[in-house]
Amino acid sequence: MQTISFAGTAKNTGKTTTALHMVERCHARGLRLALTSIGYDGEIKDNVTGLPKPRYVLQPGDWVATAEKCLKTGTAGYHIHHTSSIYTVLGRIVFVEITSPGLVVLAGPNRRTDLEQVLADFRRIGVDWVLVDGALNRLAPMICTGGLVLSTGAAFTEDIPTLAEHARALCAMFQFPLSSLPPTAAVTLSLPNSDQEIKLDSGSLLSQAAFQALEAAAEAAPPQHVRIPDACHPACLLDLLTRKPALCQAQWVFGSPLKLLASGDPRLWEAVWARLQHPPQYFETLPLRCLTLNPFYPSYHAATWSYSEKFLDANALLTAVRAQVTAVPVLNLRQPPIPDLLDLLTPSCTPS
Amino acid sequence: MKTVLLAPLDPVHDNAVKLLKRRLDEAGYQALTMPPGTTVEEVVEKALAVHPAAILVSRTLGYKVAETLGQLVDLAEASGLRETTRLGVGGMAITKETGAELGFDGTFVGALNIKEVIAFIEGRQGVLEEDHSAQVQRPKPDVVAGHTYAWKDRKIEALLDTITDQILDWTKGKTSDGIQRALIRTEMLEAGVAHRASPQSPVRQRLLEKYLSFCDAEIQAAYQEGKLPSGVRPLDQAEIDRLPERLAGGHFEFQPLRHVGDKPLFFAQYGTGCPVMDVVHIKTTEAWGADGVLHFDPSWGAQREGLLQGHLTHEHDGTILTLENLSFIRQHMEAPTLWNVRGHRGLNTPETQVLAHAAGADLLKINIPYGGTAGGTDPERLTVDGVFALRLAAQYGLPFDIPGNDELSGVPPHKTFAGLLIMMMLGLKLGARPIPKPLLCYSPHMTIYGHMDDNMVDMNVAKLAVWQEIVDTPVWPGEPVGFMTHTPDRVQSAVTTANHAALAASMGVSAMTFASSDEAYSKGPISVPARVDTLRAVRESLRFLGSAHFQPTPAAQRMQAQLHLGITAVLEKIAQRGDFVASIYEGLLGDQEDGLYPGRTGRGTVRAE
Repeated sequence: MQTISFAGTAKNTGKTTTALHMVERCHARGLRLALTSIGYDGEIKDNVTGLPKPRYVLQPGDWVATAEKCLKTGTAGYHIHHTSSIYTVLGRIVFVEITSPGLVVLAGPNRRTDLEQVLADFRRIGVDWVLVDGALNRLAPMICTGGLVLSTGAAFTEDIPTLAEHARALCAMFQFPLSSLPPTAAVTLSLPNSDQEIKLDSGSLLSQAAFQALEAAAEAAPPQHVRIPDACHPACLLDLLTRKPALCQAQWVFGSPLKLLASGDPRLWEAVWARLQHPPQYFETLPLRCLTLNPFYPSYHAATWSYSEKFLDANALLTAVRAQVTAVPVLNLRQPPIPDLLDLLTPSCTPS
Repeated sequence: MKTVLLAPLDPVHDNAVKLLKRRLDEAGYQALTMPPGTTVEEVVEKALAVHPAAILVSRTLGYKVAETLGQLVDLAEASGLRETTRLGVGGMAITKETGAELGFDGTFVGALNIKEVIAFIEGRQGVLEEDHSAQVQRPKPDVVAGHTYAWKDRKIEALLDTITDQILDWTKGKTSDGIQRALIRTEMLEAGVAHRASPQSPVRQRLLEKYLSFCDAEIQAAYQEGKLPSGVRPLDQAEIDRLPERLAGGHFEFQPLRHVGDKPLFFAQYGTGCPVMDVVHIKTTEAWGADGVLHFDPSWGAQREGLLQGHLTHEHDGTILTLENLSFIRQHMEAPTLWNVRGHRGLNTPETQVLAHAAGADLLKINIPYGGTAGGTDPERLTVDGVFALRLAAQYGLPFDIPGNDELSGVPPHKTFAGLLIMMMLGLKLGARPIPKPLLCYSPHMTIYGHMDDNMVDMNVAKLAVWQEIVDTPVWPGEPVGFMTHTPDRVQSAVTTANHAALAASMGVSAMTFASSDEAYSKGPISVPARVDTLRAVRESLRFLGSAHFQPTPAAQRMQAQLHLGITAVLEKIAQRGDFVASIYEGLLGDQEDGLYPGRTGRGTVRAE
């Protein structure tokens, strides 16, 4: 079973459009497809802007894991296979097989542990592909999937150079290797030439006080390794590294690129990486398979309290981002020649 | 003691957080608040330090705010908080769907519901959800519960005893085509051949022929030739089939209009002419918190002998009474919604009760003095039919309400109330449970004699309070409250209805009926937004009032005393006259001076059994 998740830098950056492209390709190849979402997808209109949203039209034989209440809002026929113990705002997650073509609305698991359970159930059911749609800028639960497609675009920022720089820093987060060191629950400093370890109270570093504790722990002797299993504030870390250059010599190991992205702007992380003598490592990661671009953005009209559709120059956007991002394919799925995403993703999206 | 972390995630506003803190502190939680302007990182850092059972965020949703809320959820996940700490969000524009999109475990929509918040903190969200499902199965409310019908005014009781004995004696051995049709309808229902789609068995054929022999030619033509009255057509099957699709996705959790207590119950009127549109209005009414609905039929239907059959739509006001229409409408209601079918003024009064009961009505409506005047049915005919209808109400075990709308013709309230009391005693003697409906209105009598020149409170208070002196009965002002105070201005209409609703609620009534804010002046079918206007306005007025009460002024007490004396005097005259039907003809319950004339339809149609 292959799994791929679709995340974005903001609302309206094209996550669902990209996922729909995969749906279409899977249907064309006759693959057994399953869908879920860590948010809410398939609605007629955006919950905030009121603008139309792309919708999921599924075919008989497709599978869905969605909240009970969403079943009633779609038009596709379905058969409930089983009801899970996962509870969401919109009711329990149910596993259904589509029996007649129609629209579906997805609202699936919103935590990693729940998403893992959903993927395990789909594995038991025996599907070929599981597509996990994202929500807004959220992506932390998706670490348990086999690969990631990121979407960015004008809805994140209308300034193309800024957008391209952000995309570069974002994609760079996924280029670092796994660590051979064992994971820890708390922030841990390993001293050189010694088995001695200093553990802090928490697995995260988010406040000045937490960084002061780290700094104090590192006073005695510069650490060989610093392991931060959970969240970490990049601006505070950058400040620490600027004040204590000796810490730059340590091997820094982080929980995952998704935890770091949840912690702060990738451009700040890029500045952190520039200071470190060794590339950072992760306890777990997932491959970034490609980056898609969306020139659309909702334009707000204060006088009418409404939004309208606006677009950046698609060619200029694509050129600028491709100039900055070279490690993964950069695509606009609405701009010919339209690539086949399924070809691009096969066969390396098996969850770790 | 569980800790709950409360964060506004708003640069300025934290009122909701402060309110929530007070309520959670009162409930025994340690509620820690963070100030406005707190960042996502600070919230998560604080949570890592205090290990709360839940983080509750209050924030008005707007563009880019969603990303901030999503960032909190993601950072909580990245920090390992989500395995131990539940995340909840509430605020303006937050919906269940946005909560799901943002990845929160709980979403709080609308006004603060502390029970819901505590269930969420305690991880009983699923249980609460099942509670909500159970709410759909909430018990059907009982309008008459809590009242004994014990008479407090012995003089009035004695007068009513005399009058109603005379009525029951007079109706003995008398029948009408309306009663015969009701008996045949009952037989058809018992034989399972009452519906138009019933198999064309010899039994149906025989009963239908017999039924039509008691009908007007126009009704006979509809059955025999398919020729429907002007402005009436059958509903297309496609129109019927599409309704479930139209209603799909419209799920609601019933929130009563009441701010405190279990009474009064609130009823809205419908009768657009089209059963499909009626269902949409009913679903709207239910979704906005009304407890029940009243079916209004076309006025012309009351003037014909016999009722039509099939799913029929009507291009003018009033939805046609057929078994199929009634069953279709009831089928789409929530089970606990109370349902009353109007049929008290016409030639089909007994038969309407039979069909309404068969279709699942919870309340019947019968008033002989009102139905026998003001353009209604001949008093002799309606007395015979009305007593039969009361026997049906007793047989079915259904309460019946007694509208006092003859006041709209100009009848002073003491005469109308005397009529209501006669109907009450009649019903009680026959084993039924009556509910008088004094009309809170700006009636012609009030206008002409200036009783409401200063205010609309004193007289209405008097009209409600006088019942408490006479009998322990449920009282149901209508129909609707505020009649003749409405104008084409929707805001004005909603406000005046809400004012009357608050006044009546403060007087401890059991139920009340209100109209849509465009009902009096819609010049066509009333609109759903206008209906919602009224429901929202009433909810707000009840929230404003709470458990507070209006204190009757000396003026109201004087009016109440005069009203009581007036009622007694009218009943004395009727008892003295010794003939109820003659009393109506002679204007004892309202005369030409009052603007009331005996009804003419069906005159001379009462015969011996």
